[in-house]
Amino acid sequence: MEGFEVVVGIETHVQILTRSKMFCGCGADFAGAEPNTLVCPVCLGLPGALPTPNAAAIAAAVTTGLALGGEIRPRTWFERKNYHYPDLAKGYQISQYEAPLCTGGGLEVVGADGVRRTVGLERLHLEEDTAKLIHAPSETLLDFNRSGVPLMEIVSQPDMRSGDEARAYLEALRQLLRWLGVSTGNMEDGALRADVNISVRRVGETRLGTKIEIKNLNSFAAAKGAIEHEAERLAGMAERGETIVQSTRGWDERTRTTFAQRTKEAADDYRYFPEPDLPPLVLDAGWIEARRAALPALPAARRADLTERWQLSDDEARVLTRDRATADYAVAALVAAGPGASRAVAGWISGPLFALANAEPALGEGWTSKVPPNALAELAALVADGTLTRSVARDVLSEMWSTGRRAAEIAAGGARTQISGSDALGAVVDEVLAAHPKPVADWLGGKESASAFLLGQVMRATGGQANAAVARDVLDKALARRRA
Amino acid sequence: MTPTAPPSPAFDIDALAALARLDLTAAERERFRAQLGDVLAYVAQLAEAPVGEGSAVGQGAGVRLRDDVVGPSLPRAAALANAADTLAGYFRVPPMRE
Ligand SMILES: [Zn+2]
Repeated sequence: MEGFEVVVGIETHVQILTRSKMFCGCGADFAGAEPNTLVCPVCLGLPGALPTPNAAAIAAAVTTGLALGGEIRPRTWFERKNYHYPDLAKGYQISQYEAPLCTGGGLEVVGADGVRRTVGLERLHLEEDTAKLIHAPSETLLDFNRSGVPLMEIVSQPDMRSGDEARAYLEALRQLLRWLGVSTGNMEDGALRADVNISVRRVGETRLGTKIEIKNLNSFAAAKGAIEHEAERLAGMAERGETIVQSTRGWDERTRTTFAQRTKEAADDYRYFPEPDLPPLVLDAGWIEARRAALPALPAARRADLTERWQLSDDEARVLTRDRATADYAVAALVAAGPGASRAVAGWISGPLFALANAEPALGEGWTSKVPPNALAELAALVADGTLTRSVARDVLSEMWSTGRRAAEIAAGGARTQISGSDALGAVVDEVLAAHPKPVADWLGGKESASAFLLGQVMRATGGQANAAVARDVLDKALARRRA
Repeated sequence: MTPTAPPSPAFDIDALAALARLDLTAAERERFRAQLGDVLAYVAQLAEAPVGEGSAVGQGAGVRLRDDVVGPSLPRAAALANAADTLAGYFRVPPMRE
């Protein structure tokens, strides 16, 4: 790879989260359905059946395009992409070619080096998913339940320069899709599938090298691994002066290598032409603007808000914007706690609260209602003013989580309030000193470190509820009295 | 075909036959090459017709959209009724492993 640069562009196919299919009323939630039970003349491609586009799928694609900063075409149309393979009963897929629904835009990506870059986007268009094939040695079985499920194809510019950056792009895209609620984004279910275009060139070269496509990468790790492996292979070929032929390759997860699938040549003559069964898709300008106005605050804006207005680090901001529910929760808690408490509140969320949520994955986003944001802010305030120690507060938070009670109530009821009165501590300290004459003698003999042991015993005797600073002070005074 | 017809656009009969999965004999190649040439020349001639500004693609009123509501699907037996072959609720075709 020395002296070479890898250039990566990614095409993603995204299943749009709708109730029904793209061009017919069959249910789109095919997971777990018996084969060929969600099919009708339209999605089976029977002669004479006519498609009718799903308004919700179009709305979701427009929302996604706008969130990506693209430009929506107010007047566009569908086209037929013709090819022969059993996954397409009609012999063509209804797609878009000349006039994609959306062009341009970009996605902010934080690379492995922590540097933020924008990956440009070429286009976003609508199409329909194909049937699922099950390959056996002697036959292929077809299930048309997936045929006609709404898809968005999102095509990036060749703006990525490493497997890590490609992975970061896919992660950012999945985050955005989930944020908008337009797709599950689950790669393992095939709801987000990546085809990667890779070429290599000598550093300093501005023309693009011959492109290799790796299709159907179904995990972030596969995308990163395939790119890294293929870049090495292509750089080696270029180094040896071998000719790279434009072709499609597959990724073998087991051997972690790519393998030849087919060369481009005549295979991709899709003979696109406008779908004669569908009039043009005309979107009202006011409707498009209403969708723009309805966009939620997006991950990049939320991150910027957390670092600028709330003075959090990039890492804290990234963790707190992992999904929209967390970001909404974090901002509400920060507002409730007020300025000055933001680092502490961020720490309570990303530490103890995430731990509680992770222990109950079935809750999903529902974890945000277990401890309301203002209740968390109250807990943070009780720690800040010294009423609760951090360790007691952790227990209080667990109790808040399981009972729904407020921090002040739990603290008052359970004698968990921090012991900070020096009178109360005085008695404890005296007991500890009486019980450990040896360390006391050591300390009196000049062994300063013996006091740390004694302080530990005081904290232990109070069940961690002593204010450590006050306890230290009371202990020091008690020891000093003994010396005198 | 009028004598003034523009020349037929270039095409590769072998590539087209491959895409259509047709094995053509030498005689068929020549016959279809001539016929397709005539068709394409005719279409090229149509392109010269004065149809005004722009293309008709994307013109006209917009398509009617459908609300995202799940409707009935076919009973599976009906969906599979005309299949050449089936197995356990699937359509069955010759092996297609890539
Ligand atoms: Zn259908």
